[in-house]
Amino acid sequence: MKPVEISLKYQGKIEVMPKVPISSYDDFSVIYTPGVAEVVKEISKDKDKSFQLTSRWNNVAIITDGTRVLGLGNVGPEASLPVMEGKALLFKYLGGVDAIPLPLAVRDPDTIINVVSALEPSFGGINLEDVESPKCFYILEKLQERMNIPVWHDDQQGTAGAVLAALINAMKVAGKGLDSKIVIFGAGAANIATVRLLKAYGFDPKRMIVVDREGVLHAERRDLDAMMFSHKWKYEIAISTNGFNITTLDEAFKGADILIAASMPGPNTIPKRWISIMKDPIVFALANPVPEIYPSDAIDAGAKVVATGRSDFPNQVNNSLIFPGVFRGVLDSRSSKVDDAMVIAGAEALARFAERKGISATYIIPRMDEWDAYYELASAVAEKAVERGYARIRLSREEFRLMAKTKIEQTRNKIRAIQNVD
Amino acid sequence: MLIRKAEPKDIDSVADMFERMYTLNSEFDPLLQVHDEISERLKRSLVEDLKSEDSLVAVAEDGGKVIGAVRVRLERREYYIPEKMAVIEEIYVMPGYRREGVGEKLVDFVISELSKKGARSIMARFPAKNIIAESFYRKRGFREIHYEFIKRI
Repeated sequence: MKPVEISLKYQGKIEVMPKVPISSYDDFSVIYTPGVAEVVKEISKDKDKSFQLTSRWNNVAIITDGTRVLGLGNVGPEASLPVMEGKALLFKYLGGVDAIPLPLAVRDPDTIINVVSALEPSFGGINLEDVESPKCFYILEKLQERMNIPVWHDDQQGTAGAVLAALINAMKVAGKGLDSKIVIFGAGAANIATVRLLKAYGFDPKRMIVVDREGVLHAERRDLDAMMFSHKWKYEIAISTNGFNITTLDEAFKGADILIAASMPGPNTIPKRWISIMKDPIVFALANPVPEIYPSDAIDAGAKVVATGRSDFPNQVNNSLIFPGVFRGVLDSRSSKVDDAMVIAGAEALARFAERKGISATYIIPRMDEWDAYYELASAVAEKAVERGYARIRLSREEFRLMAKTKIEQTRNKIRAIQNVD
Repeated sequence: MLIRKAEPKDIDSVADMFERMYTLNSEFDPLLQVHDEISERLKRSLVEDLKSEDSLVAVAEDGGKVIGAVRVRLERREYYIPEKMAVIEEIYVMPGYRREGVGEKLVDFVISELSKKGARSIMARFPAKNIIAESFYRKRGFREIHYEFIKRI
């Protein structure tokens, strides 16, 4: 069936289902008024009890303003709904998380921040989605400061986390280290977050060269002063990376060990010649639907390991490997934050999972259907939340793993049961 | 890092930095669009100012490379006291060297040089929307004194 036909048949992808059994008329007075008043009193005495006595602990808001939806751009909040519903389905199916699509009819960053902050009492976490750059950086920063629940922008942290997970193993396969020379091709939300995460992981920013539409970013580029006002996040990267003071693409690729491209769809956005002047490179060509260079061409030009964003090639680097487990982990630990250290812990857990199964040039990161990987990631994130002091539930790694596994398996069983009834 | 008076050999790099500053100004307002010949005009005026008693051009040098510059002119106010006032016409630090106090050192240098020449106040002029410049000067004890309004006629 085609996507539009499926949507028409099911009229959307998710629905709200009660989980408290109702066997008689009397049950209503317990679930709702007057009985519910007792629960209200409990929570009004201690707001944190909203996490125990209501569904809040497992609820996540999927927030978008519809300004940068997929590769389609600014389609508006209504048209973003099918994407957000699909995301909610993935949240539930892969992470056992109840995610509510909430596209907003506001574009002004401060208004978005006010609206989202006001949602805090209803949710255990916030997932920002498909918000245009550079607005998304400002919104994420402010919300992370203001809110006492984790705020995540999947296009930033999700992608960066998946890149790091894949890169950890790719470096083992290709024999590379933290002193690698890295070309970051494209300066959108994903790659800007990737630069920050790689830096936090221990790579040397001076050995990273970031390329945007105008060419190589370097500290003497003439558009930097204007960038300081229009896009301070890219400006920071321009002045903190590229210690070589490289100004041309040829110099950037020459002898580089790693290429991380998240730019324009290919297939020839990255010509083979650039790969051929790199040094036994790792090539991540992550543009969708068509990678910047096809894996076969990259290998032809000397690439040792290749990853793309697509499931029909080996090594799919995809946010869907990251966000369900991250949210399972932060919700299970009832974390008040999600930071780079937690993303790194999650990425390392994913990488170790693949390593235990046996890594090779065509297997550096688990596939999306390797369910056990999500439990590993979730428990690593939860454990790090405890360590960082953000967790309100402090359990061991083992306990968190079992918790995640139980919740995700139960969810999948329920979905199976409901779909059999339908 | 060394702060010193500019010399003729510095003119090209100082002009380049000031051109960057004026180009940034043009981002803030259409009435600050830069002239096609800005580079030549800057170089010409810098040559003059290096000789003039009433102006001062200083540079910041790091590892033999000029990475920041400031130009200040001495003005005499006719109806206000103190009469002798220094005006910062341009100041620029290369992006890779910012947040290391270079701008502050340049300002301190010209203040101490010009107070020797009798200047008793110092003024800066920058586009109203340049909030980074505003915060730079406020942090160093400057405050607004005049408003400059403009309209196209």
